[in-house]
Amino acid sequence: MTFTTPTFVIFLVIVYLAYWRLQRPAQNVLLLVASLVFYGWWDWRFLFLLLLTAGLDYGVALGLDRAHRLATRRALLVTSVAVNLGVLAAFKYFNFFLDSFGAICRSLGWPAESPVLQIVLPVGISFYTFQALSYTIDVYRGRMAPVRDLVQYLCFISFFPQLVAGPIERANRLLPQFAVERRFDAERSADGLRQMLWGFFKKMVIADGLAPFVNTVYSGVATESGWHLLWATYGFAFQIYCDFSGYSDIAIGCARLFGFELMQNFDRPYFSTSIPEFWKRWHISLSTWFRDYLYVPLGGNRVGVGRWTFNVLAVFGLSGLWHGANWTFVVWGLLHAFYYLASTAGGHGPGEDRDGTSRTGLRELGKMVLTFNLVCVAWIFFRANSLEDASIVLRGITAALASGRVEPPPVPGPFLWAAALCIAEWVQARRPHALHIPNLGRPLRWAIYYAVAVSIIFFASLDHMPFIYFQF
Amino acid sequence: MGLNLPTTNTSGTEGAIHSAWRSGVRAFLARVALFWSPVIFVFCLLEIVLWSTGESWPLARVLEIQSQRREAIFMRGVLDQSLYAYKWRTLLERRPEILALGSSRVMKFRAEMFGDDSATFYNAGGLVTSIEDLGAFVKGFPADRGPRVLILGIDPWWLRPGRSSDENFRVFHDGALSWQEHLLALRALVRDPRMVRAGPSLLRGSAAEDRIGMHARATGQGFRYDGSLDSGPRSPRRRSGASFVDPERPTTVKRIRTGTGFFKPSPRVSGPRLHALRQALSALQSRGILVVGFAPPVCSEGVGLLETDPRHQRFWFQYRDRVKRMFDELGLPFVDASSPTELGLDDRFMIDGIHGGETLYVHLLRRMLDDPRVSEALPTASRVVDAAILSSSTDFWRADFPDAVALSGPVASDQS
Repeated sequence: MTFTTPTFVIFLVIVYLAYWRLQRPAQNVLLLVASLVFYGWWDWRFLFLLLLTAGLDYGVALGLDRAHRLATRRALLVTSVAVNLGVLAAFKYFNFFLDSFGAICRSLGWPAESPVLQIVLPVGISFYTFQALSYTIDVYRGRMAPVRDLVQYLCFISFFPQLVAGPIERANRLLPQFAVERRFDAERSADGLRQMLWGFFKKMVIADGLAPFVNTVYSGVATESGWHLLWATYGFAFQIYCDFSGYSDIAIGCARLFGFELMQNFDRPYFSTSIPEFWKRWHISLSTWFRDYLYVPLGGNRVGVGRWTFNVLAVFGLSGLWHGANWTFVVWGLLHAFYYLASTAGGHGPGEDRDGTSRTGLRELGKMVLTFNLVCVAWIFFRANSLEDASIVLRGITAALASGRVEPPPVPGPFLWAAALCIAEWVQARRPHALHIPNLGRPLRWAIYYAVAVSIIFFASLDHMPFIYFQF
Repeated sequence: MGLNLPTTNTSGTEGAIHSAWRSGVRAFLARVALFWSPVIFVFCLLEIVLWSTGESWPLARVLEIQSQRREAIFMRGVLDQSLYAYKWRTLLERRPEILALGSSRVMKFRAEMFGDDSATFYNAGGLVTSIEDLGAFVKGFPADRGPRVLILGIDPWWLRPGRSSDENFRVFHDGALSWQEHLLALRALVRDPRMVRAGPSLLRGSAAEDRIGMHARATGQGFRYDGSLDSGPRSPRRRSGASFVDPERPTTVKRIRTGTGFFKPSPRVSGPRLHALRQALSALQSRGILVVGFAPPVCSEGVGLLETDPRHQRFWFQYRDRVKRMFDELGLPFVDASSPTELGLDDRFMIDGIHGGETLYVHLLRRMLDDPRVSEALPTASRVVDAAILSSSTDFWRADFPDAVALSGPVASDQS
């Protein structure tokens, strides 16, 4: 079930109406059933996988609570990590590793076939696996007590608003919310709906509006002009941002309808003035996950320069691989690692990054433009079908820029919407989302909400573009 | 954004929850409903317009009405026409013995032309618009429901190499049952000022009882019960001194000159597509079907250009020659009606640059009936066609059928 379908709207209304008629334990049961229906709508067979790994992690956490010997605790943690990552690797990376192994063998002159297995990737597996890992690791570290209520735990793993594409919630943040009474708050619900509306606008009008042009250009880069490649790359930058942050907005808004608060996942990342700042604003739930469960355990920036460089490369490289089983994603991650290292050179670590909301000087604007363009260069590798394609795109864009001739985007409409988004985000910099406008009078507020709603009704693409991050 | 968790309700009473439900949730839902009510109102209003004009009637209902009232025509204006679903479904249900197949350029054959066999005729024009479509039709159409006679119009662009073949033939959904199509229709309705202007007349029911769909109501054009296209009441009288004007923009002649649309220049006909056509014809023939082929007409000026423009010349002549030769080799009848002059007519019998009027198709059928294999298969058609040609009420686009068999009886499938 996808957020942008009428099926989901009907589902949400039914669950919502039933939910607020129930008390907490029953509310959790309802949420669990709803979440399983939501997930099973794609492919019910993957429910078993979800429940199996969730059941194992639940048991491991209880075992960790009882075990006092370090070796036992370590063994339990290793079991949980190995099973979770093993399942992820089997479904997501098996062909990639097999193919890469075959390529290495062939490059060494050893004959090796690379058989390809037809494996269907369970939707959202990367997200719920990381969420489950955060739970067992936190219990192992003693940062939280294991939850004994199985329903609560399963709700935490399968909570439908954020199950398939995040935000990747921390156990110590989301789990306690299932343990307390949820009281209906009309203002919170209303703001949840507003945030959902904004998310739908970003996804259905901007992201899906840009998708046909971007997909067409990137599916045949060799025959496209340099300016088309450039506009498609800029288009993809906004497509992926609006697609993913739109999903996050819908997820956060939807969770608020049920009395839950999810973490912010995006904070106007394209207004960042440096790459480290970008990573504090882009996919926050994943970047902080890597920070807390990989970067810091590796030593973070409290180590020598060589080790710190390795830590940064490892985190960004794995972050790239998390996105997809393709070398293009690894290069994307490593390119960001390079940016990161270069921008923090001399400071040994990210240093202080200020909040960008109050900066409006030309110098800051220049930094934003530079950072945005660096991010776009990396997006080329993220979006291209292969490294060869990425190289063609880079060469095409370089040639176009060198020509000195400027061509406007061939499909200006979605780019104008993207420009409108930038203005809205700039104006609403200190707000949790662009439609959070309590300072305006009701007529003006409603006029703005209607404008967004009517834009969706009239300009939304109806081609059912799946959310890009579903594939991750 | 903080967590802002609500405090645990220690009493946790059911009463408190229900109280929250009563006061908070209901008020909230009322607020949401109030916000969306103008949008819902406009939607409902537009949906009422769609329904009252027959625009959003499901195909099943349309077909049922057309089977009860043979004079009813159907054509949507803003909602997806769902032509493939409409015609394919009918085709499977009715099991016609005489079938016209091809693009929109065969849609003018109508039941009245076939004399005593009228009730067993169906026009599936529009269902097949490429060689690939024809192959899919042959594969997908149940062999036991095959017609006795199949009149097949073959457009030249079917044989153009490199023409991308869409998969329209497989699109069998009904737009009336799709929320996306409704939304698109509503957008079109709001954006299209013609529809807004035509609104009052569209909603006037009694005069338009037999016109299902907005386009049918606004123009009188639509598909008849037999699948043929009624081009509406507009037709130049034979004595009016009418001249041919191509209403299409750009005109067919301009398209040929610029080499755009259907008339993209090709150096030759496609060998693989010719082969696929032969395979399809052989398959139909092996089922005992008499396939009667024809080359649909292009206006005279267009044909002149196709014959003289070096970019089109070779392809055009190859198309006419190879297709006819193929039919000859397979022992199947074929009529080259690629120009109205081939039938002894002129451009006044053309509705636009590539579509002939009903009268032209009467003459085309007359030419087909000159072949003894066809006249034997359609023994009573000659009488009706000859009478139509001689009728003083027949004008350039619309034919009068004084000898037509009344079509009020049950249809073939009903009988079976």
